[in-house]
Amino acid sequence: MLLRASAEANEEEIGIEGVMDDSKESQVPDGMLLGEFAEAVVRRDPDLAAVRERMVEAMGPEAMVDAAAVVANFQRMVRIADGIGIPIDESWRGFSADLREDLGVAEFASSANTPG
Amino acid sequence: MKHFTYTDSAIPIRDDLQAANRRQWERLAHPGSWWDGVDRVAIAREIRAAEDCAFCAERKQALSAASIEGAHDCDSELPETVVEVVHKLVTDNARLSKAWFDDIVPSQLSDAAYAEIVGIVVNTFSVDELQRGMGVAVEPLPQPVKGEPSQRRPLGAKDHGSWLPTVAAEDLDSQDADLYGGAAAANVIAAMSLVPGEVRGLLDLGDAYYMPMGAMNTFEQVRSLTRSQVELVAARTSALNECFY
Repeated sequence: MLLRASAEANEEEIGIEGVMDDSKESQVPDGMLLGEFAEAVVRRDPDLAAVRERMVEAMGPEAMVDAAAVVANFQRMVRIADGIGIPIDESWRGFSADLREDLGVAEFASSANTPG
Repeated sequence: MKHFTYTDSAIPIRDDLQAANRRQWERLAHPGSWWDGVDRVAIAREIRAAEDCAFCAERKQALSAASIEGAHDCDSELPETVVEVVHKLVTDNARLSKAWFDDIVPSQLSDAAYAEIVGIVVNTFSVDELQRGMGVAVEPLPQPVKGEPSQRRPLGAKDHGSWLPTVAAEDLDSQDADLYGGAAAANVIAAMSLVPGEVRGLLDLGDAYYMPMGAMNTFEQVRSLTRSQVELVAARTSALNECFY
């Protein structure tokens, strides 16, 4: 949701389907590489070191560290949501519903724990 | 021992990340609301044990986690239920269910003790994930600090639709008045508010790992990544974890 909001705020075009499908272009600069890096960390991919190296070469070490920190942050946030069964925030319900529909996240098992 | 020095790191690591990680290790080592320092550090050890737990691996592969019987590979003397909560949160979080939770709380763990376990797990796991992502060895855990848990339960905790009672901004008591920075809190922020110390840890790490709360709605670039790049990484990580929220 914040991806779409940030793109709108900064007048950028994005392909939201790139969030769910790594074969689709998000149109975010270096988006494929960033997605590949996130996946390598989350999936414990043995190629993580190689992906990391490509990120450092393409985007610089600061960007790699920043990306690692964001992945780490959201590895945490999803576990809070799943572990405490929190509902969707009232203020998000309306304008996030169509996005959830587009992304197909209702099929996730965790949707049963998150009224919204 | 001085933690998170990054002296061997070939890449520059932001000072604020280093400082945030050190503060998390301080919080981890000290008594919390319901667990003492020894237990808190033991819970952190179980986060790491879960990564190599054969039972967790087998259960994660099964169509139904409940169909697999066995025992966790442990690295502590913590009660079996605590180990189960820690390992499940780390390795199979997308398949946590209300039925699983109801089997544990309140019959085996109080709601607040459970909230603190979630807090220890998510905040410590996040630090470990940063290290892995950056290609740095996970940090040795801190030495526990002696002392008793405070056993303080916020008086304003109420049912707001989560599995656990939470504290809304308007119900914070004087001791926690600044907990959400004077604003309303998203459900994911208030989720662990039965244990205010874990919310403080969440927000402290979040400022360094993601962005300061004040920057959330301005959509300005605060890191070397653009805001859209940050949000793409956030969204992709959440999708890979099959997170509906």
